[in-house]
Amino acid sequence: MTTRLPVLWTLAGIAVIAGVFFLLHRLRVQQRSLVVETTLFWRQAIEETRARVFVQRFRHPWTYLFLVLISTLLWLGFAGLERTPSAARESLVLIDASATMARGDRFAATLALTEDLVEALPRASRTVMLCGGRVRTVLRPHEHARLLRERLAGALPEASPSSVEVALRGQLARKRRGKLRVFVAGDATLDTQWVSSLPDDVEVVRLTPPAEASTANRGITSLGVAPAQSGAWDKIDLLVEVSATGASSLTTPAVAIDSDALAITPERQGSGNAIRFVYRDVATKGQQLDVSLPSGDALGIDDTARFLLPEHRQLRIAIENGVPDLLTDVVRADPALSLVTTSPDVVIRRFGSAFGASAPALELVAEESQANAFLIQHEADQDPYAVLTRLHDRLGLAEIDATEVARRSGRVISMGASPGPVRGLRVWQSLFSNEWNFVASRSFPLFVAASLRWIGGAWTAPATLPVGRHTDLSGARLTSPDGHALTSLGDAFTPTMAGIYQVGNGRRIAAALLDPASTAPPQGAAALPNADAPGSAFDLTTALLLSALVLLLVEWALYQRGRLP
Amino acid sequence: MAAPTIRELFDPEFLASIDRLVMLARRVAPAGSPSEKKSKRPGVGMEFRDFHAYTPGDDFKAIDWNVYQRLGKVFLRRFEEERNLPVYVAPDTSRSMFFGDNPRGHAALKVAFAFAAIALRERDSVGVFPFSNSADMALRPSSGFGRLMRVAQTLTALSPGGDTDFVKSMRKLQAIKMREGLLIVISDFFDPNGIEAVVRALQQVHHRLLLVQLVRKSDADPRLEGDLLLQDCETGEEQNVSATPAVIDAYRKAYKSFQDQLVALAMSRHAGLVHVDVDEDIVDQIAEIFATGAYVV
Repeated sequence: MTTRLPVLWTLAGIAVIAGVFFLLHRLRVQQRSLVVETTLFWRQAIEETRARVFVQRFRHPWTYLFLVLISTLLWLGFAGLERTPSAARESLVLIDASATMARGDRFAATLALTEDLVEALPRASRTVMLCGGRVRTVLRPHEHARLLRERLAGALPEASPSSVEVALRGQLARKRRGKLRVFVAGDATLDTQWVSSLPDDVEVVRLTPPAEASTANRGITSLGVAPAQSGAWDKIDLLVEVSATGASSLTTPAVAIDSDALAITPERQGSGNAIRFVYRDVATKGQQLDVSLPSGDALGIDDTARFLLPEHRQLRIAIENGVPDLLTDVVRADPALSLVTTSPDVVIRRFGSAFGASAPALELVAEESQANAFLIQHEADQDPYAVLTRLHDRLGLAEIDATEVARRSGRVISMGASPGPVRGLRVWQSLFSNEWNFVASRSFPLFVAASLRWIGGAWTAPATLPVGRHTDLSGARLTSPDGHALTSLGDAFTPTMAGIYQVGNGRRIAAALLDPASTAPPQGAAALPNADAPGSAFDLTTALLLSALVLLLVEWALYQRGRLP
Repeated sequence: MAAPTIRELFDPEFLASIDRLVMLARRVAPAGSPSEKKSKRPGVGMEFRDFHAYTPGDDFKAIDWNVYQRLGKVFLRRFEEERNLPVYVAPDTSRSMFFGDNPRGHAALKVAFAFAAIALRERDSVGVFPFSNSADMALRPSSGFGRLMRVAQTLTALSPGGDTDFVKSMRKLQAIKMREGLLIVISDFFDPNGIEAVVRALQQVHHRLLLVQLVRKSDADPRLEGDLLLQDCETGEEQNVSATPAVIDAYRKAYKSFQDQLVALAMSRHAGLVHVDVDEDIVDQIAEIFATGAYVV
């Protein structure tokens, strides 16, 4: 047995109760004086049944025992006595608050079942987590079940895929005291193979309300952009995928850009339960795009999606005289870049030159002056390692034949990063000579274009992504759609809810559900055994109070029969 | 605490009821008087008892001259003397008898007066011997119905007080030289020394006994509750009492034991034992005893 109060407090309380009642027993009672004709018979009667008199022998041990027992039971009830969580079992309740649970009143029914279940579980060994876009612990061991009710008040399913499995994996990574019973409350789908491979001391069961009668649903399951097939650098092709289940029909979604309906007739691709609608040559300037389907199906949360179109603008490039012509040719060939002589966004110059003053620059440096072949200068608040990792791919450096370049140059080809006031990239000048293999590689134009775009700050990160999917956003500070300040962990960021995230530098990221698993009917229910119906909420405190009541009745009965004073 | 006046105690209604009681007693008792009995003392009656050798001072009228002629010796012819036994009324005047609103003492005086009236009507002599922790002769035994008022005056003039002590009282009563008679003890018998002392004292009395116990219903069934500090009105002794059902039960057992010992005493002494409820009509209760023949001495 354990108590919510510290054990010492509990024992001290019992000792105080026993002591106080002992003293009270020793106290003289308030007596009523009465003169009588004779005390002869009373004297004899008292010889048989002693009266309460202070500071004489302990007269009423049974009364004392009853009082101490009753009071101790009440005290233990107050102290929150409960069964010790045996090595037996810990309980983990994972409430699915994903988009799937937005069907009808399944979420409310699941919460009700969960509350009943939690009442019946040992308080000291159960944990409850709400698994929506992010995982939150809503009830810790030893906390009263009433707190759960309060914390779940107003909770709603979130427009995100299920995070139950993520939560469970995280909990299993922790050290456990004994067996673990996991209750998956809701329709979350778990990887059945993974579940079957769990250790024997982990049992996973499902707690779910009866299945909904109607499962007909349609939803937006994918949304994406691609460079315009027509080649226009400032336009994109937009793809919207709509899926349907049950008796739902597939309809053309309504698309609006900055609240104005998009006047482009989409191409329909595919058939069956999933149709892709492709909108060609959509002008892209970073506008907000809203896609919606007619409501009235089983799940409303997947009927809308918000998207941010990429912001495509021409970068103004100035090139210093003396820079290899090859670079000028690459710039001229890229329609997203324009050669200028004044007010450039990015300059290309030799290291040490004053050309372009303090503008972000791609600089050519003598190899004797720099240990690294590529030295990236990044913002001071970013992690150099994360920058290196990210740009290695993005700049196309993964595509070059570094071994050949190293062989020909006789030097180690390496990348470095250091913080600076503006973005920049310093590259060995000799890499741009024809002696080495670099300029001849297919990735050279990509390297130049990507480098200039990154240095010029052209936003190339995906502007829209599904909830729950990672994206590169190193060290960025964000504000979630519901107004909470966030910081991405490392170089990754995972949106946990649908909506527009504000990124620190004024850019935005849209997140949308886009989860085929949520749109489809719940599949996971059959994969797990069902939990037994929760027992009654007859906890130990109730038992203690009832015992105290019974003792009180026994004492009263004994008193009525003259067995107790 | 004082004895009531004659008017308070013996009002006209009470006296009228005493008259009816006396008539009832005469009609019911064949011997005429509860004290009427042959005396063992030889006298001048008509019933021959035995012969006795003459000693100087004997009544010469009792000499049997026929025996003298035949035997040459003088013998007295002795006869049973038909004499009524004297009645000694002994009311308890201890403090416990005069405690409360309707004290047992008043009832005791009325009972004493009633028995005195009956005895005097039958020409018995009646004396009054009040007692508490001692005994005194308040009225010398004498007969004649005309003395009834004197008896009343004596009873109302008694001074209540003192502890109950049967041993000392009866010893004192024995010390008063009186011929054998009927001793009517009117008391609550609440002797602080216990009923054992009462029994021991009354066993030593050489008179015939009539015990009149003055009772209340609450004696056997006390109506007390809670935690009490009881003080004995005679001794001042204090007793802590938690009047629980268990204690009340124990009290009842103690009282029943007291009653049982009193009854045993009466049986062993061939004495009468009369219970008189002080909260009921005194005369009616005594009359009922005579009417039903319950009274046997």
